[in-house]
Amino acid sequence: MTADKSDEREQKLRESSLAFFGAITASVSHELNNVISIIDQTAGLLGDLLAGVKYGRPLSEEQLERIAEKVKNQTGRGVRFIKRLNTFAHSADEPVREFEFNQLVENLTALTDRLAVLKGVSLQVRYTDQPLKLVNSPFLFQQALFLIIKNLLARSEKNDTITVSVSVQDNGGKVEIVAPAKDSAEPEYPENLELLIESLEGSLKVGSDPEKICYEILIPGIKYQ
Amino acid sequence: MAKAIVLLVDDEKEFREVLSQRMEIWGFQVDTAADGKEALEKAKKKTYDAIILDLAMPEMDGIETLQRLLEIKSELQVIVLTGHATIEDGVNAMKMGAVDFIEKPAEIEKLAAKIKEAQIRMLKLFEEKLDEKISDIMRKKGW
Repeated sequence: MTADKSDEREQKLRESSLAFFGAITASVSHELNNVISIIDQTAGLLGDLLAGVKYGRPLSEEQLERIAEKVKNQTGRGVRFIKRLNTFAHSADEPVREFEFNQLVENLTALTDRLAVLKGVSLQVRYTDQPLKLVNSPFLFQQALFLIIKNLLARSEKNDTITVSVSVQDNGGKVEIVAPAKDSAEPEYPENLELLIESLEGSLKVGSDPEKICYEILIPGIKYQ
Repeated sequence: MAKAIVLLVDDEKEFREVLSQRMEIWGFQVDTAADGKEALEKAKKKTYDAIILDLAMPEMDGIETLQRLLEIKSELQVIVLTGHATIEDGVNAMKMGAVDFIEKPAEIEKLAAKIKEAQIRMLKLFEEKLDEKISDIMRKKGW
């Protein structure tokens, strides 16, 4: 590969990675805004009800319990989003490191779930029975998975199901992503996907039949099962 | 003035519940809808002084819901709810016929003021239509 082509490749990967990072953080920030909005309005409701006490409208224990419960539930929801975002952000700490395959798939699909919900599509995930540790790039792997899911969501309709299945292979981990086929056109390769798979030293297979489209990624670097 | 009748459209159940409760304390009569489809069904059956519409909703998003609501009644007073950094979406919604927008988490005082303004506008539009009808009848009778 010439120096120019190598630079161009690196530039494409950088831009794609930035876009990916932006898409995930934008989605999570939207969810967190919803959580904060609910907590904010609940605090406001408490203020409104307390103001009513001055005018002879007492506040019941039941009302207070419901308000406390709502705040607690939303805080828990917010903490879960933040933990997921934190895990995602730290996946970019090092270009190559050890990671647990199922956990990474689980975190990324949970972060992407909102995009599926917005389309009325169900995202289902199947994991391996045992933990699967790999040494590779967790960030680039998530990026590849995200590109495929995003591409399939763009082709999906309400009530469709996209299934993500994780399995162990001799030399690494495999992820199969399957969605209903919408037309007879050949499924395309999302932009930069091949570059990502190359950077992961992995392989990619794309297949389809009249019923479904299937993307299969194999990521090498198995540490132990 | 009579209590303003408001339709609150948001897919977040908890947000819908707490905001509608607050709006009732603040003197409004509130119906709710969980999605665009439900909003359209309710708007066809009842005249609302204002519709508070979340832009980010699953399946039929806020913009599509806005367009369809205005097809039912072009004078509907729709106030859109936007997230942070989506103020541009609010402005675009106004170009498409929304009368105002407010950023989540919505300050109740600001929201209440916008609803009251919408109610006044609806009343003026109703009075104008009534005047037109009366003038029309009088013209036909040669008065």
